[in-house]
Parts: sequence; C-alpha cells; structure tokens
Amino acid sequence: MKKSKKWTSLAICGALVTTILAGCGGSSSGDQAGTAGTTPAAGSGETTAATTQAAGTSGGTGEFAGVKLVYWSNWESTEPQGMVITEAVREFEAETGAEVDLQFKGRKGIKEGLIPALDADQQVDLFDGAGNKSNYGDRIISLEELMKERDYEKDTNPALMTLNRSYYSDGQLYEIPYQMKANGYLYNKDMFDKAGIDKAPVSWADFVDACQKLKDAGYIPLTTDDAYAMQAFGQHLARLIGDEEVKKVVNEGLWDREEVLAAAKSFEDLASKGYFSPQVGANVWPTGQNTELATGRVAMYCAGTYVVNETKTITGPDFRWGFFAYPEVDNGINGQEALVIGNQSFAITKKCANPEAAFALIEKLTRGSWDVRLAQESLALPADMNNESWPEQLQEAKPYMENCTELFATSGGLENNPDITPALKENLMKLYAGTCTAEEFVSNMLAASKN
Amino acid sequence: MKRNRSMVVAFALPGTLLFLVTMVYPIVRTVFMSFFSIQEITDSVDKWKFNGIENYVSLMKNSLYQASWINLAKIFLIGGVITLGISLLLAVILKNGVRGRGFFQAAIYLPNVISAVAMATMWIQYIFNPSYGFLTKFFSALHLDSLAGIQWLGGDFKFWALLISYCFGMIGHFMLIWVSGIERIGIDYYEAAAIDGANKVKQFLYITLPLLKGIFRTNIIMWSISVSGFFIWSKLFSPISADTSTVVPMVYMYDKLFGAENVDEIRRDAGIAAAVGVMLCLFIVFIFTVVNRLIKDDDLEF
Repeated sequence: MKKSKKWTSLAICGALVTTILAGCGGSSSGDQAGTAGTTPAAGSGETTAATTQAAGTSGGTGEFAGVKLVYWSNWESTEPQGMVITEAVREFEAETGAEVDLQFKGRKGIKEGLIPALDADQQVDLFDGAGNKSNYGDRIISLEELMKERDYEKDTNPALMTLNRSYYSDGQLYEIPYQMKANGYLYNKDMFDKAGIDKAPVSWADFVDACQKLKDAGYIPLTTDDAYAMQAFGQHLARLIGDEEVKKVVNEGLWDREEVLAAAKSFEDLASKGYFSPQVGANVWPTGQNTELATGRVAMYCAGTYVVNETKTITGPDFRWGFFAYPEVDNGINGQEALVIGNQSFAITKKCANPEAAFALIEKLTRGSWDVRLAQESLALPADMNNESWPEQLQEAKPYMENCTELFATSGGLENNPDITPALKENLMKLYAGTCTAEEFVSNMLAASKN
Repeated sequence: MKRNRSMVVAFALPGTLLFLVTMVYPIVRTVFMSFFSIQEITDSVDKWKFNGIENYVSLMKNSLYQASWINLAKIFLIGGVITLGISLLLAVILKNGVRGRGFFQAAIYLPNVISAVAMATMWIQYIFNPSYGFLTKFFSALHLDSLAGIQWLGGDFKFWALLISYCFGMIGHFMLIWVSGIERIGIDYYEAAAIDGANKVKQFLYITLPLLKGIFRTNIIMWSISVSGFFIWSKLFSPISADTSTVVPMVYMYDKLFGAENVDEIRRDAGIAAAVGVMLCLFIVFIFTVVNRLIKDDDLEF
C-alpha cells in the first residue's frame, strides 16, 4: 500500500475504534433518548443505595448523610416543574446530607422505560409521573406506614386520597398525589364581562344562555380539539347516568340508551345555534387550544386546569382565566359536586434501601414552601391543603374542588374503551361541527361498536 | 491460500453471535410472546398467561385493528404509486440534464433529512390550518373559495392530508435511488436510440424502465419496510389518542403495549403487541416473496 493510504486507513480505523468504545461507555440508562440535564453523573446502575462517599455537599452531619437516592422524574429539566424540583433537591441535599441523582426522563422515559429498567436491576429509588401506578405491581412499596410515621395524610385533600387508594386491589396507598388538576370549562373572563355574564353557569339552561349572550356580543362561545372532544360529551352523559354507566356504554356498545340520544341532542342543539367555532371539526390538538382559546378568539374550552400552564407563553400574564365545573343537566343524577380530578404522583420502588429518605424528599416537594413554589411556577394546584396560595388564574377552581364529594373517571368514563375511542372522537367532532345529527351519531356509534 | 478453519471461525464468530443475540433472539422471543397474555414487557415468564392463538383471533376480529390494516394498505398502494411514480419522474428529469441539477437533488432530498416531528408540525399547524394556513390563503387568493374552505384535517380529509405530507417527505429518498440506477445504464444505448429516431418518451419506456427492474424491486421492498414502520406521522396527526382515519398497526401496537391515554384502568398487553409485530413481519415477508416472484431482473445484462 502507498504510505499515505496506509496512514489514512490507520487513522480511520482508530476513529472507528474510538467511537465504538465511546458508544459502549457512557450509556446512562436502558431507554431511548432520555432528555439532557442529569445532575451528578448518571452511572450505569449501582446496586447499593447507600454508598460510603465522603460527605457530598454538606459535611456529612445531616439526617440522611451517606444516603444515595436515584430519582427519575417525568418532567423535562426545562419545564417549570423540572426547574423547581432541581432547586428543591439541592436544598434537600444541603439540609440532610443525602445525595440525590436526579434524572429527567420525560413522559415517555417513565411510561416506556422505567419498568424495563427496574426489571433489569437498575437502581431507581423514587420516581414521579402520571397518577395510577397500579401496573407497577410489586415494584413499588406501600406508603401507609411512612405516612403514619410522618403524619402526612391530614394535609391532603381526602378525595384525592380516596382516588389514589382506589387504584389498588388491597386499598392501600402506593403513591403520593401532587400537581392536581380538575376538569371542566375554562373560560375567558374578559369576554364574559363584556357579554354581560356575571355568574358562572350552574345549570344547562345557564350554560346555553351564556353561549347566546357571548354570540350576541360577537364572540365565538365554544371550541375544542380532537384530543379533548370526549370531555364535554362524557361529562354530560355522566351527569345523566353516572360514570360507571358511561363506562358500560362504551365497553358494551349501549349507544341506543335514551340518555345517549338526549346528550347528543343537547350538543346538536349547541351546534345548530352556531355556538361552536367554524373550524372545530378539524382542530388537531393543540390548534383549538393555542390558536383559538389562548389568543382570545373563543370564550370557553372544556379540558383540565393544566391548560392554563400549557398556554401561558401565548396568553401572557394578563389573560383573565375563569373556571366552572360541568353544568348540571335536566334529569341528571348528579351535579357540580361530581368532578373529574386527577393528579401526578410520587412512588418509591422496592429497590430503595432507604425509603425514609425518599419519603422525606417527597414530603419536601409536596408540603410548605416548595409546594407553593411548584404551584406558582407551573400554574398548578398546591398539594398541601393548608396552602392558601392558589395561582390567581385557578382561584375559581378552588370552591369546586373543596366541595367535591364524587370523583368522575376521566371524561366521565367515556374514554374507557380505547378500541372505540377513535370512532367516538370522529363522530363527536362531526356532532360539534354540525355535520351529523344526534340520530346519525347514535347509529354511527352502534355500527362502529358491532364486533 | 490454505484455508485455515480456526481462523475462519474466529473471524466469523463475533459477527454471528451479535447477529444471533440482537436479531434472531428478539424475533424468536416475540413470536413466543405472541401466544401469551403479558402485562409488562419485561415481566418474568412465570407471570405470562398462555393464550394459544387467542391473541391473533381477537386482533383479527377487532374493527379498529382492521381499520389500521386498511389504512396501511391504502398508504402502501396509493402512497407507493404516488411516491415511486413522482420520484421516478423527477429522477428521469434530473438525469436528462437540467441546469442546477445538484441544487435540485439537494432540495428535493431536504425533507427527508428534516425530522418528521418538525415536518408534521409545519403541515398541521401551518399549511393545513383552516384560518391562516398556506392552502387556505393560496386558494382564497385565486378566488377558489370552495377549495379554500376545505377542512384538511377534518374527518374526511385527514387521511389524505397525512398521505400527502408523508409522500412529500419520502420522494427525495427514492429519487436518489432511481438516479443511481439510471446512472448505471450506459449512455451508448440512449445515443443509439436517438440516432434511430426514438424520442425521450420512447427512450424512457423501452430503455430506462426495463433496465431499472432491479432497482424497482429494491424500491418496493424498501417502501414496504418504511410503510410497515409507519408510526410517527400517524401519532403526530392524531396526538393523545388514535383516529380511525390515521391509525396504523404500529400505533395500535404502541397503545396496547404501553396503555392508551386517558383510560382510568391501566391495560397493557405485551402479548397482543407481539402478535401485531409478528403480523407486520409476515406482511413484509409476503411482499418480498411476491415481488421476487414477479420481477426477475437476472435475464438482462448491460
């Protein structure tokens, strides 16, 4: 081989070997593209939680000195929640002498990657994420004892405690709720004022009246996105028959019930009066939320209180948000005391060698000043019932949550059958857009569920 | 050169082992899993519940699953004709010597390089938007108001919106493959044909097309592989939960494997997801066999 060719080929081989070795080296966890932003080096899975590292940041005299916790979070490090949690964790480390390896995995990283990581013996001590962690089975521990030791339960909304215990067949608590949200109608208070509506609707008649007043004042009363199309109809139907019956309707195809037709007729009525935005039939999320609601073109939107945080960069700080629970309907069996409430939650894994330390961290994040910060920065509801400082934009949700005595399933139970949800979404969008009648809606759904 | 058996084994062994572990083992395990009901994908084998062919039977009876395959077939056939046809046309035009050939090749290939998430966001939030979107403004400017009023992302049109966006992004990739295939054809044939009086169209039909048979087969197989993995575009056009007009088998598999959103009871089944995967694999094998039978390119030498 000519000399130059020899050296070139040698250099390329060297580069190849180096890249292979580099690729084998720093792999931090078993899942795909976890997001950037890990605090102390994400090693590849140590199996002992307590290490004898020399006193991390504080001089080794704190309550949990020498304890190492691996915390997987479903937030991104750049989200408001992620930023607040990062600071809170640093303060926790300084106060207690523990060392917390905080890794931001994102929603997918937890949903798709956490269980395989745990099953592959990777060390994860605590994590957060969507509520209902019942599929984790025996990978997470019961928190009843820890809660009793620290007298934790009294400061959390009891409805949420009931909800989170209901996920588990033994009725025990395996997850600590936070970042609560409620579902109902979010509305633009400026538009309501200008249209002369001084009270949030309580009954269906109030609601239709409000829509008419808004239309007369030249505003578009309602819009939605495909992702949230089920919320209004589902809650309406749940007012008529309760969420357990709604689940039966979607799972067993009982679309010929008279209440289904009645609910469909109510929405057909709204559509025929022109209360929905003209583009509602084609809104792929987040089109309706971002380009219609947040920009101040439409007055009301049926979704959860998290919308306020999600649209804050578009609405700006001066947007006056209002909230009311789904109105009561004629011949309904429940009223505004039945509400869809959900939450994110923390859980501690079986692998955690020091659950007290993990619980102390969870307590720090969900009580007192850090709970307030989290609520304010992410425009969410505080986990601690004693925290009076609800974000101003969500003040109107407070009375509904405090008076809630019955919890609805998500969308009143209407999304309980994922196999029928696509067809349901399609037909609901048509109903809202006024391109199908209530009878057609019922017959389409009957046809779709025949199998 | 003397054949040294131990050397042969030593060099072949690492690659073979890697292949067995990363390719063969997952396939075998997936096929095996498809006969069970399994909640979490990494559950230990003692938690698996034997189901026989029940997974396959219930899948084939499920109307949403059937809809996903119908969508896949439509994307494969109609999208295939559009993508392969337009990319071939562009390749032929480019090879016939337009000016700025390098620029056009790069420009047409550019959508393929940009992430699907960015592209889909552009299509959904800008081009197809019914209030201020590109298509609406374009048709309004031409006073074609009925066309301007089309709700591109509404139920009737959503599938076509998806198909157009996807094909737009894929044309560049196949065009480059056609271009490389055309470059292999000697220029003498075209010169001889031109002297004999054949025009461009005749040259295309009688020289280019027949000599591209092998490339054609390659492209069909590559197209079927990328179509069977159709996932991101469908998820972007139907975020949060699937739509009957955009669902494809892989989206269905994802929802079964990790649980659909907004369902209060967590329902995950890795066994059914494995069965979907097996069916997708069989789809590709089927296409491969059919294409190999129909298109034989070993009778031509040039």
